[in-house]
Amino acid sequence: MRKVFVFFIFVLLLYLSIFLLHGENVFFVISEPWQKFLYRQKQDSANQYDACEDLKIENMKLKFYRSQNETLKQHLDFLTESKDKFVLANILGRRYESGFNWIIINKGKKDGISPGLAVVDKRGSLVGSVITAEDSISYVRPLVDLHSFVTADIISFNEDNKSDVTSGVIQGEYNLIVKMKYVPLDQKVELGDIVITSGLEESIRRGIIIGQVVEINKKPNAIFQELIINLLAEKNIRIVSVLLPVS
Amino acid sequence: MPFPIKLIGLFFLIFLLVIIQVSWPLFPNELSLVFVLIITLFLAGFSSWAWLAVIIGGIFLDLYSIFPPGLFCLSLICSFAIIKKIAHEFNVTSVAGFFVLSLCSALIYKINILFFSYLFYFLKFSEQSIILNKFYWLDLVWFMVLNASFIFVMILGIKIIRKYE
Repeated sequence: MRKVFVFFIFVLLLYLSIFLLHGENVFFVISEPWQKFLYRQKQDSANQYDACEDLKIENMKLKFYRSQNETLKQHLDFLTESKDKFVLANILGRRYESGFNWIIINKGKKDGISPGLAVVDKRGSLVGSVITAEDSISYVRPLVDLHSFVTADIISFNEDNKSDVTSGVIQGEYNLIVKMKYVPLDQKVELGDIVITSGLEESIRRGIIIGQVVEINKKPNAIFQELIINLLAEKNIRIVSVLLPVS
Repeated sequence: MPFPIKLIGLFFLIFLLVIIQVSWPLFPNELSLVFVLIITLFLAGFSSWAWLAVIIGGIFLDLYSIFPPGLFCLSLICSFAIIKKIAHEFNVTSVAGFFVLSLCSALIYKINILFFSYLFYFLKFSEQSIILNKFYWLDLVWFMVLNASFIFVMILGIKIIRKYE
């Protein structure tokens, strides 16, 4: 009986200190070096990238800037890359539960992170968005997660060399692939077209590179076509940047 | 060894397991080390220690979760109570029986997570609701097989060690 009482008191104090008095930070601080060490056991991703991937992203960025200049030259000046404020963060781990997939990063509310902010890799490709921010850590939902929805645009160029914008919603499937849905069937999309964020989300600006169209699925009686997107963010990522709101 | 020291030892062991589960990329996503530890302790005859592991493990799983606090703790407590009832009802002693019980316990744990996640969602404690589609069912089967296999291997190991002792 005494043991049960001791244990009950122990659990009660633990719960109170962790979830009501924000004592979770103690555990996060203790576990951070361990988590960093364990996460580093992953294969180094630096060598897995070839120059071709870099050129693809560079090319996409150039196409995007060209499109901007054509249509929204003055209006979009404030959206250019240099104006992003960001917070660098280390990935501490990943968790998966019943279709939910989340990445744990070592920066939180005290660093200015709030839910909804975009998370990018070292070359500015979208990795996901922040779901929840604690004081010293945050949880990021990757794009491949089934519950991730990001509005996106495809910029393509027609024969007259004029840019055309196609909008849709990016959604992950079973943590393996990413699809762009709700793209009207009459919209012309080609393989290799670039996909960028549309900026309709409150905390994600327009123009962050997402990926490239690799497959187009059109069904005769459907209203929309589905596009398979190849993400350009690094696969085995360790460090990410959280883009803070411009204001 | 006095009880509080053992308790602190278990506390740190579970904390380490949760950190390994979250941060070590070698482990498959669907493998729950805390759940494996709890069921292994129970099947090996350490029922009271399994109860302690349920509470402490639940707290740490809640700590690194996007779900509201309590979901994993409540799921583990309810699952373990049901599993204990089933084990006493059927008096499982054979090796095959242990495997079937492990499979059942994994299923019960997942059903409890589903139940509490929906409960929290409908009570507006959480914005996350699990989507029941073909991927969920596939994931459920994989979770059951993987965790039951791990528990089975652990139990076999314990049985062999006891035999030689």
